[in-house]
Amino acid sequence: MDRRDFLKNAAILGAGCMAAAAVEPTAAEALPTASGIKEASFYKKIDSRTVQCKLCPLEEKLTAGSKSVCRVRSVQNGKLYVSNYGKPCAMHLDPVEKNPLYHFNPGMKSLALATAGCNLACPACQNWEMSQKSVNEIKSYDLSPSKAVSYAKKNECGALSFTFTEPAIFIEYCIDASKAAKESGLKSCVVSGGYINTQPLTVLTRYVDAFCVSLKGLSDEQYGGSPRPSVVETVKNTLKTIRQSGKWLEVACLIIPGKSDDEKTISEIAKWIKDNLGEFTPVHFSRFYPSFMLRNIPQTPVGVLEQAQKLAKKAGIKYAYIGNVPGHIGNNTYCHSCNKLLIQRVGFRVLKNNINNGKCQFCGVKIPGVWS
Amino acid sequence: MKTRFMLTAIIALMLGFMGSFTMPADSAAKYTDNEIKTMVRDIQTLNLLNSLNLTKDQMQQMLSVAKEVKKTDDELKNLYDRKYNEMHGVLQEMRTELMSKTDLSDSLKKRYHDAENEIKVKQVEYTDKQKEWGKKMQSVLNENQKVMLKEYQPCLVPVKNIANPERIGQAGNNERIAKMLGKIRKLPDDKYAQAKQMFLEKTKERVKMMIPDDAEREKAVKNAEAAMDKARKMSDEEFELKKDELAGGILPKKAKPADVENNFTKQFLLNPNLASILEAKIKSSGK
Repeated sequence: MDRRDFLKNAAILGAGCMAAAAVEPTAAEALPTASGIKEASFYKKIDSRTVQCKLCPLEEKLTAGSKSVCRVRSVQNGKLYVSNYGKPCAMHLDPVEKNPLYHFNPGMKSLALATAGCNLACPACQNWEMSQKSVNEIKSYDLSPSKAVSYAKKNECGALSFTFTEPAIFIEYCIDASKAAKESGLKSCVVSGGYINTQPLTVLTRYVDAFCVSLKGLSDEQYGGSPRPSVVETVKNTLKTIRQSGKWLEVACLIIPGKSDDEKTISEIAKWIKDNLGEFTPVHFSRFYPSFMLRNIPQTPVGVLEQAQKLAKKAGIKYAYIGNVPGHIGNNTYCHSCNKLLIQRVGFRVLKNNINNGKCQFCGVKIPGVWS
Repeated sequence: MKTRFMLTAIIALMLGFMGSFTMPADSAAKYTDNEIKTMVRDIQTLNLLNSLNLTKDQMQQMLSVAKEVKKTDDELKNLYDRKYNEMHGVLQEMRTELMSKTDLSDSLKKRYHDAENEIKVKQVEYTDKQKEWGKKMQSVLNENQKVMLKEYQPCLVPVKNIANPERIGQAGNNERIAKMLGKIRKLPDDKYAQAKQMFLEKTKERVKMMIPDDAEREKAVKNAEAAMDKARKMSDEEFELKKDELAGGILPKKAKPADVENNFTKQFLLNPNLASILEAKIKSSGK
């Protein structure tokens, strides 16, 4: 062995040791805690060490020691595991109006749950302290699906809401908790950014009763221009898939000054919703507040939201709302036929409800939504 | 050491929350009490207007009423100036007369009563006009704004639901009191007893200023105690769910005036300075 061969072998040995260290981490490194771990539902084995996550269009190929973008998936013994199963980091008792869901059992209290992590990194995220963290980095609670249902019932909730971060990345928990909820007579709602593959979404729609999906714009730039494949196309597909499933759907559009507040964008969004999801899909134009990476942008002027509501109505959307402006009249529901006040909302409270058996009590027209 | 530090921190937090209620006497006040009250009222009016999200058209409609309020208020103030000067002169004469006699002349009595009556008549007229203006102001508001008016908590610093409401899809923030309760849960029993005692003493002081009724005051203190005890008995999950509600039970609610809608209309929407406030708002809304 000459000097060159020695160095070559030494380099191969060194690289081999590093690789071995990278692919064989201790269990503690790969998987944060004993509780919260469950085999992921949507993935494919590539070889003995590599798996491909099939949850979202990222379709990451992961090996032991590598971290998923969503921060909650990792590989051990050739299997993909989630670390956030039954480990919510946020638990609140909120009305469904906060999701926002305005045509789904108005005034119903729900147990709102979220785990750490997200597969997106939207620059305006208002829950980034949770969404951009792993389970290990923030306090989480032990709340199995059955315990979640029991807490919800104890606190007189009619539903579970999976919200705040991205329910797609805790889909295993979502599905099991929704099944348990259904068995106990509770509903379940998902509030999502919509970045999910069709197959897992289709499974999710079997168990969830209502969805609110955020459509932040019609270009990937609105999602931070992140190197994620076709975000907007995926979100559009999600919206259409939910619509086809027959489950209740509302759409939320965050209006950010200088980013998504121009009349052309708003009109295009409204037109797309009308053409693809139907004129009776409720659309919420939400006020932006400085947050996460967009702290330099001021809150959206109320006049801009009022204009967005007008443009959506002009485009043919029957139920366009203004969000995040407590007490604004744009929070109310008015009958699409007789224009009388159906539901008066101040903040997230329902003060009046003039819908009887799903119909306007003034003119008798059927109001789209889930009212029982 | 750690426990002692924690106890000190909690007490400091509590004292911070309770605030100080004693004010040093201002020996050479530049501004009168009335001037400060006027400024406070103006700021509270601004916070109310901001929470109502009035349209430009609504502000214009209110402005025409506000101008009438201002004009009549100025006239009343001028009348006060004139009549109080007149009454002061008459009172001086009365004092001089009573120094040498045991009775007052009829002309003096009449001059005083005439001045006083003139003020009273104008005041009654003003009150009647206020009712009329109040109705006009309320008619400008939509059904949601009327609720916001009734539920308004007069404040100097804009309250959370005006400046920064809890938003759609946003996980609720840990409020200061909820955080304090979280810390209280970790205290050993003996330290908790001390901390609780101190907190309740401060609560008693605080409610004295906020709640006029004795029984209601006692109830508020008991609620605070119950909320603290309850917080310690809960599981982590239960506490996470209930902490905001518990915190709400600890903070005594300021008693609202009866007939709050008309009362707040009079206090804020018939503020004589509303016209200048609205003019400034209309100007800035056009920018």
